[in-house]
Amino acid sequence: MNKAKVVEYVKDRFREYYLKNPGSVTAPSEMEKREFGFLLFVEKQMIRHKGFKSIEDLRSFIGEVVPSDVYYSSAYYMNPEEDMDRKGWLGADLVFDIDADHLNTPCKSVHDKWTCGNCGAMGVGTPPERCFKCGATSLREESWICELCLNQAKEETNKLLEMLTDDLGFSGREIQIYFTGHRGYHVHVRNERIRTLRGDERKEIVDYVAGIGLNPTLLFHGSPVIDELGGWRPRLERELTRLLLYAEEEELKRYGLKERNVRELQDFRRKIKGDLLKHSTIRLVESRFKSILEVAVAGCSAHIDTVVTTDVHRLVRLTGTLNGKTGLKVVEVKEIDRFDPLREAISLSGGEETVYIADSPKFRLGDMEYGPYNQELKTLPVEAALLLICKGKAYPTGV
Amino acid sequence: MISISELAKYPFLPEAAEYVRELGVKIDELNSPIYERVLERAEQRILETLTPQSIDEKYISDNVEILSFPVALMMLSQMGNDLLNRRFALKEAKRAYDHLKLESAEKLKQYSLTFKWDVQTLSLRGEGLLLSFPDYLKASSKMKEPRWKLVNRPVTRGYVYLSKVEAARLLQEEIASSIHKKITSLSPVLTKSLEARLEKLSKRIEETLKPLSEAPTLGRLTFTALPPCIKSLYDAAIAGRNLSHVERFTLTTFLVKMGLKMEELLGLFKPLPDFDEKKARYQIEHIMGVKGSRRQYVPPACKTLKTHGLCRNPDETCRKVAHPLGYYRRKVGKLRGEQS
Repeated sequence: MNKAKVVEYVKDRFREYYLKNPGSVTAPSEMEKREFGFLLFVEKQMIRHKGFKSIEDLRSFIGEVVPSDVYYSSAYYMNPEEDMDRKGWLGADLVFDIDADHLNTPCKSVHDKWTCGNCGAMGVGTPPERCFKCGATSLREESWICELCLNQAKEETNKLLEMLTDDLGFSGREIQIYFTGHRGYHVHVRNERIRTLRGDERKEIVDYVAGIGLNPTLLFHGSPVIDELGGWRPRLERELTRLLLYAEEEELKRYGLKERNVRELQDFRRKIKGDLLKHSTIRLVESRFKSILEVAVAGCSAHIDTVVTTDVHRLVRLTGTLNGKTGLKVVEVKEIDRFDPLREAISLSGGEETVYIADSPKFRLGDMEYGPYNQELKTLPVEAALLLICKGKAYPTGV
Repeated sequence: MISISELAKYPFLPEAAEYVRELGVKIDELNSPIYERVLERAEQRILETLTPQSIDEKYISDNVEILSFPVALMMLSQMGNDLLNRRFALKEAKRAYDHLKLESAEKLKQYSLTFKWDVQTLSLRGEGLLLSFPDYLKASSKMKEPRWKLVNRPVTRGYVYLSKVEAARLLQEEIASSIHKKITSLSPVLTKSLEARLEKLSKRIEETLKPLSEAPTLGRLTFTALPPCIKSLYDAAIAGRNLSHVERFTLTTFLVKMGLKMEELLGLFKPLPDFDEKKARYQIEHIMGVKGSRRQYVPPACKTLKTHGLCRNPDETCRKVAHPLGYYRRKVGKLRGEQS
């Protein structure tokens, strides 16, 4: 196998996609104020500080260069092509990144692997901070996109969306959701009033949606109880009631509740016979079931990648472009509950490719199920072959 | 409508500036004897920023109050001492806060329009306000206590609940920064005839500030070993910048652990704008464990400092420790190693 030829093959497929779908690349709002960035196939070089006046210019640039990934700035600039300190920052969209990389799904131990770049030690699941054998920090990750992970990311996105609308008051019009073409979703909020928030002010929003720094005493006793007010207090109260009355033993244990606490909770349930009304949930939790408080906070929080939101110069993926890690495209999601990323993000279809597959877990794309594969030659539909090649798990025969 | 007595309480309101304009006072005429009381009051306002005294103690009349405020701003702009400007802004803002917290929610809403706040009064109960969350984030960005964190507040449909006192406290922040901005934006225009007066005032200020800016000698402390968070608090204290409660607590507990004595600590806190020796002594005694619970407090760990936003410019050594005291010990050990 010739690595350069594999890269050339992927680039050809990407070129084919951009040629066949000339209208797919979509302009971000106020595109003339945005910086664009392109990751090239050649030596993974990054071109930054590009500006475009029209979508046609941008499309023809992409068609010519055929980058592996295309980005634009969440920020608006006076001069997007200048150096960072001379760009003239005008504001930025509020951006959230929900990525399965940051979620603790049980399937990770099945499909994710890591290898130490120093001593070659290997492990499964999310890589540790340091290699357990030699202590090196350069660990190579191999992640996979799986249905369970994507569903979990969807659930986190839904929690985030609820907080953005019910608590922070954004309208559906101001919120856009995108599938990243890999393992998660991006949520963009475009609103004049939040555009100029600084990084530290955005950190407060991060802490809000992720439940960071939440202080139950302040939340429950710091302000008067007013029914028309929302926020974390009623959210947490609902979740605590659910955990106190209905959560099953298995769920509670999964959250790390100790045997002793679970038993105590079951005794309590028998005694009150489902009638929590006589008791104040908060007082009960504070006096007897403190252990479920953390569980409830974690359950209500939206698990986002916190650094993305606070970075007011962030580059984000452009809709309609391809993700170099998968060959899938970035798509805007209209209705998240009915969105099927493994169908709607398919970029190329209708051809076949014979590939040598080193190994791959079972996966689905569109209506087809594939794998698991282990060191075998297969003729697959082009979308599946491209995914395996981009993931570094296969290469086309004849290169 | 805003009454004259309200303008006297809140002379930073644009309505007060409008009122002064309507009175038709000319800068050239300020030297005339009829304005003597206004000039005196303006000087007092400035001098009082150096003492813990309340500004209101020397109230003469509404008109003197309203007029002396812009005159004080002009004097400050002429003198161009930023530390003094900051202290003045803070002092005036605190004075406004003392009045604001007694106002009705409706009035608070009215005053907040000056700062372009998007505010609603709460429909069912009269005592609270709802402030739009972007305005809230901007106004509360310097408030480090957990109760100001958005996550710990009632939030609904884009608005954050504030009690009247809390709304007044956030307005204080806005007022302080707007007064400071105002002073620095003025161009020095005072007439020659006032020059002599200003010179005298400057001298008095210098005399009061001088003993404050002489940094106390802290012999036992190895300065180069201070963790960046403590160093920045220390620098802020000797520069006379206002420190929050958590910041003072952190700095004091750390220095007490370093074995600093009461007099040294008092000397360090003296430049703070609201320094009150009796109060400071009492608080330090508590931290030292000679009063109150009789237990000596320890400085907060790195994790806690991070939560409060006090972790600043962490360096290589910071990665290896979980506590500022650990940093100091490590660094001192290293410095000694290098010397021997």
